[in-house]
Amino acid sequence: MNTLSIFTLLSLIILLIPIIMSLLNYPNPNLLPSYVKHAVSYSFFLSIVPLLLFTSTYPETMISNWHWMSIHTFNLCLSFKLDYFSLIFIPVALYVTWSIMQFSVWYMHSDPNIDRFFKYLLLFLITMMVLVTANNMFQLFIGWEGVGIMSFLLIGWWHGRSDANTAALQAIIFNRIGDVGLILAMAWFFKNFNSWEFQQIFLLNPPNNVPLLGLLLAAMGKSAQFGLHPWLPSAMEGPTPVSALLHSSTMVVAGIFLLIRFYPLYQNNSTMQTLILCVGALTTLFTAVCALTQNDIKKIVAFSTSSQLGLMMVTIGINQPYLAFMHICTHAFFKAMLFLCSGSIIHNLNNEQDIRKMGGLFKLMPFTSSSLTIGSLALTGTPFLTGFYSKDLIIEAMDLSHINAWALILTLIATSMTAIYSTRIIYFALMNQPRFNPIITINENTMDLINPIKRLVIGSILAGFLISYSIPPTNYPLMTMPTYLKMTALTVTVLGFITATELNMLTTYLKFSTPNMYYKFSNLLGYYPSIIHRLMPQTNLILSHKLASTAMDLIWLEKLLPKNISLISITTASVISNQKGMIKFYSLTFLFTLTLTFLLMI
Amino acid sequence: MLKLIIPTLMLIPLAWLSNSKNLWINTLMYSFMLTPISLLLLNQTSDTSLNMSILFFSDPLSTPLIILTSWLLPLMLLASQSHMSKESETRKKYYITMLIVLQLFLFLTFSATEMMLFYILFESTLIPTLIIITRWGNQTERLNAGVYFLFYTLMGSLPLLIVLIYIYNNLGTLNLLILPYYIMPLPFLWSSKLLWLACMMAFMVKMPLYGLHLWLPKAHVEAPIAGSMVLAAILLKLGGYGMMRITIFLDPITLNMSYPFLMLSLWGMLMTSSICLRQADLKSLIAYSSVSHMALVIVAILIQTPWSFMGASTLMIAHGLTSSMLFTLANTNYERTHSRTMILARGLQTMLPVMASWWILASLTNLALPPTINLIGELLIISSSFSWSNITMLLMGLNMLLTASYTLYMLIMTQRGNVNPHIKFVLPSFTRENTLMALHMLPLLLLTLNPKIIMGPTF
Amino acid sequence: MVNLIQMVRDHWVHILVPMGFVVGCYLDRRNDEKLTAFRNKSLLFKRELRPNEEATWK
Repeated sequence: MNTLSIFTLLSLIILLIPIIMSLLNYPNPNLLPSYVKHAVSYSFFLSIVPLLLFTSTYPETMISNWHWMSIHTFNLCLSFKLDYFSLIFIPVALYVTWSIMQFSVWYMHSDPNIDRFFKYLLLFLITMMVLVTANNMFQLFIGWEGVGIMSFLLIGWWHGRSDANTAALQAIIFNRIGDVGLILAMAWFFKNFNSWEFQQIFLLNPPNNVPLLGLLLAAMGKSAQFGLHPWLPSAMEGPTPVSALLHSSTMVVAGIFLLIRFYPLYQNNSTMQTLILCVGALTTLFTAVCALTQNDIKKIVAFSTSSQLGLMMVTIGINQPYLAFMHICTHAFFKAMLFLCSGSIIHNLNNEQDIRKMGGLFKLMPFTSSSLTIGSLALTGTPFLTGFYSKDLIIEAMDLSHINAWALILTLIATSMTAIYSTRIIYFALMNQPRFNPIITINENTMDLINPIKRLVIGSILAGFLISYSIPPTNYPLMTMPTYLKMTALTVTVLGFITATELNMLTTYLKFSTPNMYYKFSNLLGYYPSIIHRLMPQTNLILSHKLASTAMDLIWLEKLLPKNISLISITTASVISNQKGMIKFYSLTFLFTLTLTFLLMI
Repeated sequence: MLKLIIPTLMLIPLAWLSNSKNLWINTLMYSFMLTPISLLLLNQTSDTSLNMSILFFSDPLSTPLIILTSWLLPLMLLASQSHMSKESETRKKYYITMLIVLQLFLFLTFSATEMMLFYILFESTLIPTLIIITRWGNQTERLNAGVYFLFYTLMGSLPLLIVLIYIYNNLGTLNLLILPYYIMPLPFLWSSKLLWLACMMAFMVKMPLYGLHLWLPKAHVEAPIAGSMVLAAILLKLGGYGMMRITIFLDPITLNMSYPFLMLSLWGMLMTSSICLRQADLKSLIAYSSVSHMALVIVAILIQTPWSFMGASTLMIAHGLTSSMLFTLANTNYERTHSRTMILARGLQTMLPVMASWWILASLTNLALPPTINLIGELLIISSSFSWSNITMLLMGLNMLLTASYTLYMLIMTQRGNVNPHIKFVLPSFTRENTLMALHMLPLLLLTLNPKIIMGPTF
Repeated sequence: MVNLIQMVRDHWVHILVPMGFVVGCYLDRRNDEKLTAFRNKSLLFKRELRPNEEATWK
């Protein structure tokens, strides 16, 4: 039991060392990237120990080590929860981040601030670790906000571009909307349960849905669910390693993770479950539709993340949090790899992101192409790749559950769309003739590029099997079903593949036609950003200018009090005072009276 | 208490008798050395308060404010060195004297035992502040700002004098330590409502309450850097301090009377936050953000639960340090670009990277990133207002959103983006400025480790 | 010798604030003693100082 906590804490502490080192005067800032990379890899190897311990004996433990403060009867400690979720998630996240770190050594090598970039990446990872291991809501909130702020800094890394700044701001604003939900839940728990410790919250089931709705809002903001989703594709403005880290193991899965953490509260609450299910289904379908017609390779992958997040949400909605968690873990591997592959392509094609201008890469970049293909196949849930072990189970569990059938159908459609857009990337980027300028020198033979992708390929092939083999999820659904149900997941995926290939073949030889309504809907992200991003901020800014600033402050308040008073006093002063400055008249009166008195005296 | 007050007093002859070479060093060094003395007050041996003498006392509410005051004097001296460098020696000494006198008055105000003494000192802090604003401000509008500042505060606080005389006449004492035992619940009459208004208005203007806040942006914008710092950091907190002290007189009436003011604060909080979104003027933005944060404090004080008092006192200290830091940062920009317009200082991150990291830290504390004390304060206030009425959560949440938006808008506008061509030749950031920022940031970070000491009397 | 005088003339101001502190401490101590004496007049709150305890009236 002790080894568990020691090794976990050790692996967390090792992550801090490069940060501390950068605060001191370390010898050479150019070495920091490799320090960071090594720290993460050591930390990963250390975190294997608790994972192995966990797979053999299933211990769960909780460490409280520093009493921060207690306000009346309310205790706040620094405490870590090392249970099923955190013990599995930490190694996965570290493994993925290790690869991403190594990749960014190659990708960012020409950046003058590469040491700061690595520091930010590491802090991003650390805040995520804090979030995952938190045992009370305050600590979770620290990680939660830290992840948000670090994403702001990283998305806006190339701050010379105004797009990057906008995307960063967008991310933080959508996240902040979610944070309101978390704060609401915290306030509610404080008021009614007088505790932010998970154990105590789980003991007392909340009598109404207010805190649960708050948590759902928080999860929706962080995991970019429908309504709060536009920041996620915009976040592609950041450097590719950031996108990879953001989309695989940190940040976006934090929302899902929050719901998984709190699933004891959702377990027997069918209203909330239905709500989660609907939100998830809507997200997964909507973003899959958006992904179909995007031409930016990173945007397609981003929308696929969003769609997968929707799928995880659906899984929580059908009361399978363990499956959702497993999907988080497996998804991390291939999603990170897809991003690294697209990063490699983008970098080699001289920052070209449009898949229409790629093509034929399987000859020029065989390694990247094959990894990209494996990643896409894993994403679609091809049997015996990583994605299969979670996705197939999710769809089977869904088929067997008797909740909202419409939501389930939407999810199935979205699943087949996964195959369609994956095929589209492969078809346009890798197959056929090249459509880019011939002068570009393509070279993928760098260790810092190949090694991380190689590791992730291994992960994408084996991880699902290993995880599902060694750690059986605790609440399995009943696993007897007719063959056609068993084959549903596979069938829809294959259908998607066939359709996509057919369509792609068709469109290549078609004549040019004006895009139709549906295409525009999908390509313009369902008009959502153009409506919401114009309407709401504009109304708000107009209101704040016209109502708050001009009407209230400058006119009403200023006129009513100070200016009015000064006006009144000036007017009254001039009215009441009888000195009008008519000097001739005064003198004349004086003279007149003087003469009069003089005459009277006589 | 005298061991803090007399050395502060001695700073004045020190300033006048130092030769011009050592003027800044001497005042700075000795004002720094006074800060540890103020830390002695933290040693609160008895349960209720630490009674120094018949005139002065301190309790967990006033101690952090006193320490903040004494911490801020060296920072003000440090901050105003650059813009005072062109003045003659006598004027420098005069300026330093004003700052010291202000600090002295603030010490006395925060530690006064007697309400009447408190009132007199409360008013007397106006004088040095007024002189600082109207004598050393940068533009002609400073005179207007001075008038606004003086008259808003005076108009608000004169009724308080009458009420204090009335209470003294009735109860026979105004001693803060004795009053809780003497006090009788106020009857529900019109006159007691007027009494409540008279008591609260003085402090609400000072805080300021939305609607009575017009003096604040003007004064902040026009004041020299030290003036803005002390206004944001401490003078606003006088209002909060006074409100928390005076509510013991007003026992049952507050429950009913607070509603309109709570509404006004909640509404004003949103209004001022959204004004921030449209500001082009950096100092004005920070000033409005102060109004918005202080509205939270007003809400917390009017709700009157132990948690809300805790949140109010925490937020007051946190906001004092944060807003003061933001003003000094704005001043470093101003000294380089000679303009307060944000867009003219775009892209400074590439020119002044260290300053940019201070900007980031200051912005993050301003938007209440956990686990800073700003967050603790806001979280306590939000929780207590949520338990007071669930609907406030909507407004509070919206305000959180707006706060994050305008803070990051400010950060992006000043630090990110391409460099403007006219600021190619900015001065590098000085050690003095970096020290100044570090001295603002350190207490914030250290207090995060142990926020108990600023949580006020209800902790 | 001239040097010393010059130094004293330059730096005598440094004595001011520490002097203020000493005077302040002394006055605070006096005040404490006075209040202690006052307290000891009351029968209810009267208390003898323990050995080695400073004059405090709390």
